[in-house]
Amino acid sequence: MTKARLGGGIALAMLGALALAQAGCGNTFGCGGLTGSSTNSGFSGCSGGQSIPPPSSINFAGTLGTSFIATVSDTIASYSFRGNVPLKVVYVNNKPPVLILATNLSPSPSLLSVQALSGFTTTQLASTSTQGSTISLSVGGPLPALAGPAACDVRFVVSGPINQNYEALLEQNNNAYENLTTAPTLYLVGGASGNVDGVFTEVLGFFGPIKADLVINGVLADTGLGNSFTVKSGCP
Amino acid sequence: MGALEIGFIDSPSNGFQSIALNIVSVRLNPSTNPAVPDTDPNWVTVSAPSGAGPGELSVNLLDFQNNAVVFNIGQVTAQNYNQVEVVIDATQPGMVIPSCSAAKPAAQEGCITANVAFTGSTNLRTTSPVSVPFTGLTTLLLDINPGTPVPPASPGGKYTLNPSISVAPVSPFLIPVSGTVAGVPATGDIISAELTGTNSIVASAQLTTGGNFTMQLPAAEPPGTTYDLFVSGSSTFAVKSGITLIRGGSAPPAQSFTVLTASGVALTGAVIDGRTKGALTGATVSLLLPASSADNCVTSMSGCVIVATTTSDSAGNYTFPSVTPPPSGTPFYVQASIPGTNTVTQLLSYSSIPTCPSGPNASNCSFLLDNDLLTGTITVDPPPGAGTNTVVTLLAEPTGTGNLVGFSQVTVTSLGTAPFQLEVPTTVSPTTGNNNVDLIASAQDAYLGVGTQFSGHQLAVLGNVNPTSPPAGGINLTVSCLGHGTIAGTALSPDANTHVRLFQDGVQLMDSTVGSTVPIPGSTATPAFPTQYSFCAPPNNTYTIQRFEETSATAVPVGTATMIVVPTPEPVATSSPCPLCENALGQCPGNCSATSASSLQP
Repeated sequence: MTKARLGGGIALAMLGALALAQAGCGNTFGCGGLTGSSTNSGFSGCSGGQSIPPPSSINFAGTLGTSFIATVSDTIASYSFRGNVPLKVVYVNNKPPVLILATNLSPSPSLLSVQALSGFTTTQLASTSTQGSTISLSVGGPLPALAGPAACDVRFVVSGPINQNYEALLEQNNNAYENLTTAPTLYLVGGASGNVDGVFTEVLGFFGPIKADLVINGVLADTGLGNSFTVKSGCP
Repeated sequence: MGALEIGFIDSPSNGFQSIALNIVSVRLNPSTNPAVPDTDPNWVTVSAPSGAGPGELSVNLLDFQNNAVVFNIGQVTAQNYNQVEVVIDATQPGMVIPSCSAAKPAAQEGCITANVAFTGSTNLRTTSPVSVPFTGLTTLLLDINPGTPVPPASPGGKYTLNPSISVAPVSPFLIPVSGTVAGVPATGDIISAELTGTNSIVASAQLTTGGNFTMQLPAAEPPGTTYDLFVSGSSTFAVKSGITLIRGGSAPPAQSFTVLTASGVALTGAVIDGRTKGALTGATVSLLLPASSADNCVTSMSGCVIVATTTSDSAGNYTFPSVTPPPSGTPFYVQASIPGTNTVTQLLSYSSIPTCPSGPNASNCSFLLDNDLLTGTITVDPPPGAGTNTVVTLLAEPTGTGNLVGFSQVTVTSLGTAPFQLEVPTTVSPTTGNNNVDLIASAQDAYLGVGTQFSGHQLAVLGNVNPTSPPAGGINLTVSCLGHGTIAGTALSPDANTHVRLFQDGVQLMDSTVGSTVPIPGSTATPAFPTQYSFCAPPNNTYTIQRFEETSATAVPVGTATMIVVPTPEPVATSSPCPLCENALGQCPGNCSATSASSLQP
C-alpha cells in the first residue's frame, strides 16, 4: 500500500512505555555536583535547583533496517539526522512543544513506526510503510514554526549490540540528565553551552562494548568505547 | 518454552486511507474461561518487535489487506492456550485517515488524521485453542476486523471503532521455511529472512539445538514473495537467495547451511560525496554475500544477500565491528547508498584489515558517491503567517517511475519563498540510460494542529528534468492552499496484484492497491468496499489514473489512462483560524468531497 506517500504527517496519539527508564536527574551517579528536578521522573536523588523539563524521546521501530530521515524541533532549535530502525532518540533539556518529522526512505515496503514520548508518557504514535512518505508527531501541542539550527548542536551517538542495556549521565551547564536504556541511541542536548560530558556504563548483561561519539556542530569532538567511559568536550 | 510466531492479516475498508492500531503486544492464557480477567497471572506475552526495548507499534491495517505480515516471534511456556488477546494502547488506541465523503457538502473533513476511541475494551480477545509444544514453531495468524469506523459529531473529534479479532488459518497466507545449520557453535545464532535484495528483515528466529529452524513467511499471489535467508551470530555468515513463496503453494525444500566458528575483523571506511568531497552522514552501508561465486554484486544484486547493515556517522565514517571471513570462493561486497547519490557496490578484499581496491582509500573500504545538484525556489501561496513557517518536502524520482532517488525539505517562512537544493544521482536508470528525473513538492500541513499525512496544498510537479541541463530560468515550484480532495473508484475483478496509480502531468504521484475481493477463510469480516481504491489528491488539478497488474517485476498497464478533475471545495467562513490553511483570498477551504472515477476494467 503506497498511496500515502505525499504530504505531511500523521499524528496520532498514544501512550506507552519507552525503554527502561529515563529521568531528569541522576541517582546512580548523583548529579555530578549539579542540581535539578523533574516532575516526570521515576528517579530521584537530586534536589533543589530549577525544574528540569522531562526529556522527549522518539522510538523509531518497525521493520528492522528501514532507513529514514528525521527532523526534531522544539521552540529553540531543530536537529536533522538519518538512521535505520531500530533507533531511539532522546532530546534532553528541550523547550516544548516538540515536533518530529520522519520520512521513510526504504526502497522496499517497510514499516516505520515512530513513537513520541514525554518522560514516560507516549504522546503520539504514527507509522508509514511507503517510501518517501512523511509522518509528523508532536509532544506538548502543535509547534507553530520549525526552529532554526541549534546555536551549539550537541549530540551523543551511542551504538553497540542491539538491546545492550546501559546507563547514561549527560551533563552540561547547570543541569544533568540520566537515562537507562538500550543501544542504539541518539541524544540531542538542547540549549548546550560551555562544557558538556557524558558518562556511559553498561548494566544488566553484557553483549559487547558500546561506543559513544560526542558530536558538536557536526564535528566529532570525542569518542569512547568499552563498558564504562566518559566523553567530554565543549561548545565553541 | 516453545516458539510462537504471531502474524496479522485483515481485509479492511479501502474507503479509508489508513486505519491504524497501536499494538502493544499479543498474549495468551491457558484458561478455558472466556471471561478470565486481564489481571490473571497466567497470561504470557509476545511483545512488539521494536528491537529497542519495550514499546509498541502503529500498524496500518490496510497494509495487511492483501498479504499477511509477521508481528513477532517469541518464546512462551509450552502448553495449551485457549484465550488470545491483542493488547491495544488503552490511552491512544489508534487513528484513521478517512477519505473525503461522497456527500456535498461533506459534514467531515477527509484526508486528515483523526484519533479513535473504542466502544469496548482495548484488549481484543478471542477464544481459540492454541497448542505450543516444546519443539518446533507454532504460528498464530490473527485477523483484525476494525468494524466500520463511526465519524465524530464535530471536526477534530474521535472516530469510534469496535474492532474484533479471530484466528485465521495459516494456510495459504503463510508458508513454512525450515532447514538446518551445520557447524553452529551454540544455539545463539540467528536465521533471518529478508525481502530479496533488500535489508528489510521480515522475520528472524533463533536456531534451536542441533541448528534447526522453522519460520512461517508471508506468501503473496503469483509471482509470489521472494526472500533471502542468512545465518548470523558467532559464526561465519551463510546465505540462500531467491526463495520464492507463492500463496497456497508448497513449502520449499529444507534449506541447509554450513557455518564455521571464526573470529572477525573490523571493517571500516568513509562515505564521501563525489561532488562536494564532503562527508555523507547517514548513508546506508550494507555487507553483501553472494549465494554463489557466479554472482557479481557489482553488476547485479541477483543472488546477493545483505547480511549486515550500518549507517555512516557525522564524519561519514562507518564500522562493522566484527566481520567473520567469507565462505571459500564467495567474496564479500560492500554497498553504500543514500538518496540523492549513486549507489555504489565494491568488491571487498578480506584480510586482517579489509579493503576495497576500487575505492578512494586503499587502506579501508571507502566510497565516492556521485550526484548532481538541482537548485531553485519553492513558493507557498499564500505565505505562512508571521511567526510560523511551512515545511515543504521535495522528492525526485526517475522520470515515469515512483522510485525515490532524491529527497530534501525546505522551510518556507512568512516571506513565502525559499531556495532549495536537491541532490540527485548522476545515474538513475542504468537499464534505460535516461537519467532525467521528475520533481514533486508537497507542503506538510496540519489540521486543527494535528499533522496530516496528505497535503492541503496543491502538489507542484515538474517532469523530465535533465539534472545536467536544468530548465532555463531555473526550477520554480509553487504550492497553493486549496484544501483536500479525494478520487475514489472501483477496479473491476481485481486481485492482490491489482494497483491503481495516480499521475499529474505525467509524473507518478501515488499508488494504491485495491480492496481485497476474497474474504479471509473463517473471517467474520466482509470487505466493505471489496473492489475500491482511493487517493487523497489535492483539488483544482487534472489527474490521470491508470490500472496496473503487478504479475512480474514490472507492472503492466491495463486499459487506458483516465483523466479526472478534482474540484476545489467551496470556501467557508469561520470565526476562528482556518483548520487547515488559508487560501489566497483569505478564506478557508471547506470540507472536501469525494470525486468519483469510472470503473477500471480488467
